[in-house]
Amino acid sequence: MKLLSFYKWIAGSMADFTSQFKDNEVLFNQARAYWSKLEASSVIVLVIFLVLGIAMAISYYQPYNNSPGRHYKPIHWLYFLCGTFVLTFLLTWCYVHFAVPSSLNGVSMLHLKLALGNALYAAGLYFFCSWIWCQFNLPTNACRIFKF
Amino acid sequence: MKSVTMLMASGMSTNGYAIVPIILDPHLDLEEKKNLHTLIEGYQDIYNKTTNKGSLNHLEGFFNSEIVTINELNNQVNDTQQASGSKEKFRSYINEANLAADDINNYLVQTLFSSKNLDSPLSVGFKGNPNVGTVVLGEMIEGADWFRAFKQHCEKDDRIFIISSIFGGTGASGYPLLEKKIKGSASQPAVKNAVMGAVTVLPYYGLKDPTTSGSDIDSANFYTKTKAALAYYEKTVLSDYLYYAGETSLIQVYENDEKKQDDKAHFIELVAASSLFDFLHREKPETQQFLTRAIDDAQNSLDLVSLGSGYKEIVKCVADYKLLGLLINVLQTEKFFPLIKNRGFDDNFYKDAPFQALKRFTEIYDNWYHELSTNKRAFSPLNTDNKKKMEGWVKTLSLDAKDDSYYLLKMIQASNGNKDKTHENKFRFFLQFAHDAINYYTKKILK
Repeated sequence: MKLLSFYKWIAGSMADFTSQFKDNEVLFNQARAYWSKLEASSVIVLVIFLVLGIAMAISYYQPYNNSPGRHYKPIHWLYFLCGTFVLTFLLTWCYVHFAVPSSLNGVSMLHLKLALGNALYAAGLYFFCSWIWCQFNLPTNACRIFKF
Repeated sequence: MKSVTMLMASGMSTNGYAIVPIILDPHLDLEEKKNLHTLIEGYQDIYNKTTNKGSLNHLEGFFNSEIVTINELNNQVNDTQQASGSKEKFRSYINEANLAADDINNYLVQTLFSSKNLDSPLSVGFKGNPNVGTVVLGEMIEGADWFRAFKQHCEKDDRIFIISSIFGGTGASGYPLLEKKIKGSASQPAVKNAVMGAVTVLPYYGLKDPTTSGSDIDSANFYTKTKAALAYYEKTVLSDYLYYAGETSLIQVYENDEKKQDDKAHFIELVAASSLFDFLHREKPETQQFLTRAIDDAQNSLDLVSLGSGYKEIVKCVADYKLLGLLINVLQTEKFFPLIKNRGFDDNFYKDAPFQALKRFTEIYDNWYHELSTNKRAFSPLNTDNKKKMEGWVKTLSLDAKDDSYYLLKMIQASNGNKDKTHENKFRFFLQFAHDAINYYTKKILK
């Protein structure tokens, strides 16, 4: 399964990426090879958002709300949402930048778009986990803001 | 009795006993007496709401013991509030007018009682005159509905405790008389044989010069009267436990206004109240016991260290209730507190009668503690001013809770850990969780 297709909406497809090199066969082949390498590493990108999205939700609803400081207030939930977004963005960008390096044109933008997409997925997952936590009465000291 | 009620509200244990207060004060119009009745009613109201009028066990912690008035026990007996006083003058009460001027009994009356004594209406108490109280109270007790009701409802294993001052009129004369009447109740063995205790409060405040206020009470006589009464008590009192509470000198001087008697709550009253709780935890002694309670260091403002280890439980109780007062104020504005959804502690709950009753009681409690902490000598073991640095809530001790959020979190945890499905009494849950939260941190005081 091509996992990068999850990010097509923001990072585009291989065809979109390689099309800029269609006039130069060498660069075109390098771009295709790079995309394949990125595709092979995409499972880690996916793991980053899954792990961070879930871990941040668990951290918020369990240890963080087990410590004093009125952490049950929604503003703290928002802090964690932002934290999830920023952390996922940075970790994804660092990973693709250092694990799948390339000097090809447009790679930096591709990395940024991937990181942004992954951060948005993580934030969505954090929100989904929060909804599950509130709806199904999982143990927490936080305010169940998504229980209506 | 005010201090007893406050300590009970704070969580002081009565060892399973329900308290049946009988307040003997012929002073019909005394505001303080009316306030006391209101306070007791407030306590009962809250207690009944926590127990669903007795269908649930009492709580651990705040309001954990029952107060029942004698008229509730007896359904319709007149309360002491109405029955014991009379507008009649003492002169008329003893039929002095029937004595001939040269009657030897008249000379005896003139010797024992001053003109002021004879002209005093009985409805204002005996105003520091035990010689008057002794004559009147005996009959007042014997003929009173409350005394008959008391004898009727006193059962085996019930206990009797008398709280009185020794330097006034009503208490000083009333205690030995009452004790004599109780011990003389041969036809009621449960009354006669009940374990009995008493606390007699020695002089702890003075009154301003009576010549300027026109009062009949002169505090210069307090010590003389006390010595005389103590000499009498030594040979006559029959209580199993007799507690003494008093001051080393009359540090505080109040206005000499016998109509108002607007005296502030005092540390010695708290000490006297604590003797009741001590008594309720003791076994029947083989011989009569005389007890008193000292402080470690005679400071003008007493904290946990100067009070000494014997006061830890009292300090904890007062610290606990003051923290409850803080939570009561904080929680009403805490819009995202999880127990709003989990337990229904919402705006309607805070507007509802039980919470409002608790709030009113707490306002009286705060005032009581303020008086205690500003009186001479001051009982001031708490530092309640800085809500941001609450580790210093109890002076000379550092609590682990640094601010109110620690208590709020423990309340949530107590709620989450509570699986009690036997009732849906939100008010009871509120007090239970608040106590669990507070006790988690303040139990350190007892170590």
